[in-house]
Amino acid sequence: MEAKRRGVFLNVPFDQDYEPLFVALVSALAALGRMPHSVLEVPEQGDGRLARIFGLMRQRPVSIHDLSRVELPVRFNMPFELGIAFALSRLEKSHKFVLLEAKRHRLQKTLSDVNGIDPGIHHAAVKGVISCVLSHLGESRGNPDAKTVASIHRQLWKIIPSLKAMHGRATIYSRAIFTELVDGAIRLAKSEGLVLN
Amino acid sequence: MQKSHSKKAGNGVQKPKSLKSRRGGRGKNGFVHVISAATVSEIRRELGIKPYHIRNVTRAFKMAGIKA
Repeated sequence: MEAKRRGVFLNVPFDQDYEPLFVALVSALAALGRMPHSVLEVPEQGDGRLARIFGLMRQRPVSIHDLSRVELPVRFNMPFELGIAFALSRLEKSHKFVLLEAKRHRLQKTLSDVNGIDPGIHHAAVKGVISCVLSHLGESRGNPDAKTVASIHRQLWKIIPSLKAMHGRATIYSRAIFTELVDGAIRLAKSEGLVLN
Repeated sequence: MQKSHSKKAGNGVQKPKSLKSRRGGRGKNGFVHVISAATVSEIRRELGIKPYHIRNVTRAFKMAGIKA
């Protein structure tokens, strides 16, 4: 599979509470040999965030949309970007998307337009996110087990304070930290024998 | 005509099914272990991970006492 075909665009809330789940997404994708992508990795060049998101999403065959942030203040970004992914999947036929939610049946009320598409329910837990990614994006066989991915997540989580300190950031949502997080994840996946050198 | 499940070797001698090589390696537990087609260098190239990123991660792993 060529490198681009392994890319997965992450459309998730960038807030502090979501950090463990974000690291879980990166860990699970790295363990599957997939490449996590985020709008964080593209520098702002005056074309606006939306154009960057559209460009990234269009180049990747899969996107993950976490629609679990429905509390106040209301966040419209994730459903909006899901709309872009849906349009891409219909028009270009080369794009697939995965929905994530924290609570079962809630999406039927908050976004009834997507009724009929089952979201992965993660219960706002690391274990849940790992399970969702493995079941939605794993191959028919030969996938890493959830325990191995959880171990990658645990180790990756330990380097977060150092990365934040190195870059003088309060959260992990920066270009440098995202890039280094992915590198850390693929190195841990390699040490587990999941990715070749 | 009787069907054979064995593959003919180059010299015409049939190789027993049990001796035929298997695709892929085998893990510690005896199950076939499929290694992802993606490689570290491929992922790094695709994501634009530079040597200074790699150095930072190495430093962070050292500080956390993790071997990776």
